Amino acid sequence: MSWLSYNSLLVLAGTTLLGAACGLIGFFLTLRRQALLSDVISHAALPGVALAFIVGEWLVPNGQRSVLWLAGGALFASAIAVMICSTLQRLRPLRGDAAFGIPLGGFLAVGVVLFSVVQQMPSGNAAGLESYLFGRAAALSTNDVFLLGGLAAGVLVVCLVCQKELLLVAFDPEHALAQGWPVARLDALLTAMVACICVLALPMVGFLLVVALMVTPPAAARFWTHRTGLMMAVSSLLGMLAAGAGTIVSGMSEQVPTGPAIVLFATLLFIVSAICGASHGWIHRWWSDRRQRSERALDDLLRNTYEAHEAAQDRQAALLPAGHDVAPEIKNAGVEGAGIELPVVYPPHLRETGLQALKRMGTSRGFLRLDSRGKWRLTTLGVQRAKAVVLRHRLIELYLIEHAEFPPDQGDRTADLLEHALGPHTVDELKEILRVDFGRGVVRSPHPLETNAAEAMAPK
Amino acid sequence: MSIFPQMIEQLSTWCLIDTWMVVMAALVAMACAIPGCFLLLRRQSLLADGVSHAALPGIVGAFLVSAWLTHGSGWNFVLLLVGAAVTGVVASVLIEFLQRLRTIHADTALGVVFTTLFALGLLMLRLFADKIHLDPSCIVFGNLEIAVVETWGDSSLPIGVLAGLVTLGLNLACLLLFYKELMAATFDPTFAESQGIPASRVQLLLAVLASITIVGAFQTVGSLLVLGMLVIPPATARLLTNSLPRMIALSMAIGGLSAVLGHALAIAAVGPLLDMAGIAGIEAVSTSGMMTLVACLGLIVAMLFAPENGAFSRMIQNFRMQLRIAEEDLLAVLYRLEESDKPVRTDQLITLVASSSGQPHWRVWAASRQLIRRGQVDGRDGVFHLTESGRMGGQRIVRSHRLWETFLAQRLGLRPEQWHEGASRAEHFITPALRDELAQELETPDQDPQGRTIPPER
Amino acid sequence: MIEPMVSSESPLVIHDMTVAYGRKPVLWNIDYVAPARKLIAIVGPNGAGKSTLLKAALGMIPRQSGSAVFYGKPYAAIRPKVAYVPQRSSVDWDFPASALDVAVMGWYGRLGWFRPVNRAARTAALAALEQVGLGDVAQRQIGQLSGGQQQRVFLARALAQDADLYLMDEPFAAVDAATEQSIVSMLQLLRDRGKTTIVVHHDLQTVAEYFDELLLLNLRLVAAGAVSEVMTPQNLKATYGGQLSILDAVGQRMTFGPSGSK
Repeated sequence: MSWLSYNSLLVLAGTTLLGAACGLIGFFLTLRRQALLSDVISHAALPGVALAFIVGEWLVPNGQRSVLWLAGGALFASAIAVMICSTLQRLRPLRGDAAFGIPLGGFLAVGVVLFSVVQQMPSGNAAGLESYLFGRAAALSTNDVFLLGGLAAGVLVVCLVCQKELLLVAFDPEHALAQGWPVARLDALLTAMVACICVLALPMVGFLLVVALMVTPPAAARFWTHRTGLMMAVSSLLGMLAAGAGTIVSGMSEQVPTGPAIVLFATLLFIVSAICGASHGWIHRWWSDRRQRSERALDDLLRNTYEAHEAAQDRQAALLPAGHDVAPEIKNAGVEGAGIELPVVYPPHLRETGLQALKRMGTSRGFLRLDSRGKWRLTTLGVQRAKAVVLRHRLIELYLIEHAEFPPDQGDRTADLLEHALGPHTVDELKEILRVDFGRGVVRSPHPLETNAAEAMAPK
Repeated sequence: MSIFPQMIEQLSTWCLIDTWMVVMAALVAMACAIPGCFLLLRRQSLLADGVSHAALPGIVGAFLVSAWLTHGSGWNFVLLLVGAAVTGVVASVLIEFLQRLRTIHADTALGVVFTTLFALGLLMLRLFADKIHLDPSCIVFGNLEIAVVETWGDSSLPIGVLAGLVTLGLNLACLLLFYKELMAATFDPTFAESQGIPASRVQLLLAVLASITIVGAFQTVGSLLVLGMLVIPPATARLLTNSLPRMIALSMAIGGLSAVLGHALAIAAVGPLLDMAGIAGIEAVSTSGMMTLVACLGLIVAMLFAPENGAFSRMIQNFRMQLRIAEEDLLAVLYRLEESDKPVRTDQLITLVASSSGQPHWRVWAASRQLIRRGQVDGRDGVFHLTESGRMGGQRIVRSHRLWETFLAQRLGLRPEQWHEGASRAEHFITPALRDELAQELETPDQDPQGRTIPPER
Repeated sequence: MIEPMVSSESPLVIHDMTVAYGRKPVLWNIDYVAPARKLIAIVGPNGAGKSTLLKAALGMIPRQSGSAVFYGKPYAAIRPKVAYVPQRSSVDWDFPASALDVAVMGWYGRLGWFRPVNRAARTAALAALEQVGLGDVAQRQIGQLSGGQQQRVFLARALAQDADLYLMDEPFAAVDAATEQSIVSMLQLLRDRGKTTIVVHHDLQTVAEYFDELLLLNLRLVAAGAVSEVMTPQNLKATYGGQLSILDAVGQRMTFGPSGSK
């Protein structure tokens, strides 16, 4: 069979539209924490279809059953299922999971019984249970496709128009209620749209797998962004892609049933999203973790260099007799001078491999440079940055000691942990709270420094 | 025409096959009840839903492997159980993992994992259909009629019965061995952990038990339909009792009973009923569906008539209380009338009480009949008189009322127009002990804030 | 300074309000008239019905009897003028929304049905966020904000609504001292602009420092008025002391009524 025929292209268009609608409505549904409702609705659709068939047979024996008639039956049963769910929720011992599990099992049973009746009816062979299990997109007629596509488009439009209201109710129903929005009615609207879409998707993916199209695309979209509008778009796009790909594959091979193909494509997209997603994806998180780590290592290098030089300068000052100041050239080379550069002093536990990457990063930021003698130096920009880092560290340390009553040595270690997590705001706030003197641009360390100060002055 | 002769005629064709079918179904249903009870109490019934979906690739996979091992000549029961256990573990671990991602919620994770596994199973079924000779809808929805024909070796024992026995035995053994652990981990997992009971491993055991049970049941009720047997009988039992051992026993009994009734109805009732409705030619319907349906009906009956939780018994309780309030209102009014020495005609009195307490006329009338019957009120010559016991009752209510008014005025600082209404509502719920406490709290007042005497306790 | 037109009326008058969960009363006959342009605290022990009082006044929980009137009108007629700030724990902070998205919700009532969020709404919301000091995290997802910042986002949503009466449920629950300070100064600013704020509060220590008016609540209204007048040892004892065991016992019996007899 050629899947590029007019009819199969039409079917493809219909299913992709339906996939998009599923992704969109599923987005709202999962935000409202009602993902399971779609499961119950689709399970209830099975006996609904069978019942519609039997009633139709009873009214007009051996007549043609239109998709619309069967979908009507499914909708009817879904409405009953939703009501049963909410009734069961009110029974204390059965609240929660059981309130969903009972209708799931119950409607399945009714469906199986009714289908065993249908199969014994003279015209019932066409409506086999199996096609509702697997889904068969290719079996849709042109009229069906127009109907499905039209309704799916309708749901898409309603979702977009009521976007604001649906989001409000999903986020904070209490606030919505207080503001006078009809929360119950908006919920009913959402449920009705879910029921419509579930019932429409039934012949395409099969009644047990509809829930996947409602749940998987929105879950996958979470890995890409946390902006509402974008997530909505990604969710329906993923639904569309899964539905489209599944339809094409099952159209190419007679053996591959549509429903499972679509669902497996949706899961594939989910896995891809979990790995590559731009906001929570595994690669993204790995990358930003790494970045943060090297950011910290660079800060540590800068701080270590600065503190080593500071200590060396202090030691020289201490050696001089009272009343004498440090020689100007030493002072200029030291930490107080303006526009100076300092030779890098490496922190004690730095691995060689990490060091290369660190030097590259420091150079590209303009903090480090290689001088003519092949030694690494902090540039003026680097010294500025180092001062800021040291200040941040010591402010936190001081705060911990003065306001949180940490012993000095613990304050240092805790500050090590905290300093990278706090933003520039906090530093400003700390400056205000502590009201320290910024004579040298930085404050003195509240505890004696243990740096390899000798190294700082030696290679001059 | 009556349908009963038809039904009896259908039932009279009952034969050995039917008995085997019922035995098979009942065994499975009873096996399901055990993990089902714990899942229900942990509010994890949907895990059963999830596992019932996830079991499909396990079953198909086991069939494929055994077809490969035996070169397509049969299937291996042990292999099937191993497949089930593996699926259960895989599914549980996958959920754990997805929940740790934190980007998505638990029920979403459940939905993603289980639809994927189910889709995988369906795809395998289709792709390898020629290798394993399995009918998809039989696996998913069960088919007792076919299962009963497959027997163990040369004996006449159907394999399904054997599967049911094994799973029931396994479940019973685990229940007896780990009852304490299951109970603790279900009731309060954190406490169980603190007591050295590994709640998470108990949870895993439960998931594995559930998936083995589901696989054991796939021939009989189908891997999906089994969900009903896992959830519904335990739910029914939960409504009927508040004790765990009784709940387990009851849900096993309900499961067994639904199997028997379900099969009987499937072969004898549905056909004739539809015949009456004008749809002829229906022989028998699916037993697996019908037994779940019977269990559902049982649940509905329990929801209506359960002694404590049922809607009907709640209605009765409510009605009794309303009647008691009406009786007490009548007694109190009669007592007050006696205080002021004003006899009122019976019909006037009932109208008076009905309008002042907002109760319907008929209820107050019923209450008066009740009081006369109990000898608290003497209703001769068209005027009500309190008997001695009636006077005692009325005095208690009036005492409660006036004490409560005093309490509202003194302790809550309410305005005078609020006193009466609050007291009329509360007076019916104040026990003698509470009256004593109130009197003590208010330093035994002898007058209420409106200056009326508070009668002594009797 | 903005003069609210309704300044002559009391922002909230509660008359003989009784609230019950099922049959059990949790608030008994509350009568309260809130003074305008004040910072009012509702204080009481756990389970005293503080949050219930706000919710019942707003009609989110059905009242068994009594009424609540806002600026002389029923709530439905004056909704835009009353802003409610629920407890922080009442929503899912993983929700894919930015601080700005949440603040904009305060403007939804004004937008009405189907109108998408426009520039005016966004400007107002951003201004509200700036006011609470969150201007630079407006685009951040709410889950990435600290607890104090989340609380301030809620505050910004209420500010964006530009109401005259603010009802806040435990805004100081689980926030750091700095946030508490900034929220308080925000509330004082609101008062200076002629707004009224009623806050469910749990810390007796800070009542005198933060608030003008105090409402002591424990199943019933114990006392209400200026903080200095109400904060007496007797009132506090009546609020936090025993004494209410009878009220509770009777309420309890009213829940499980059927089995009770005299």
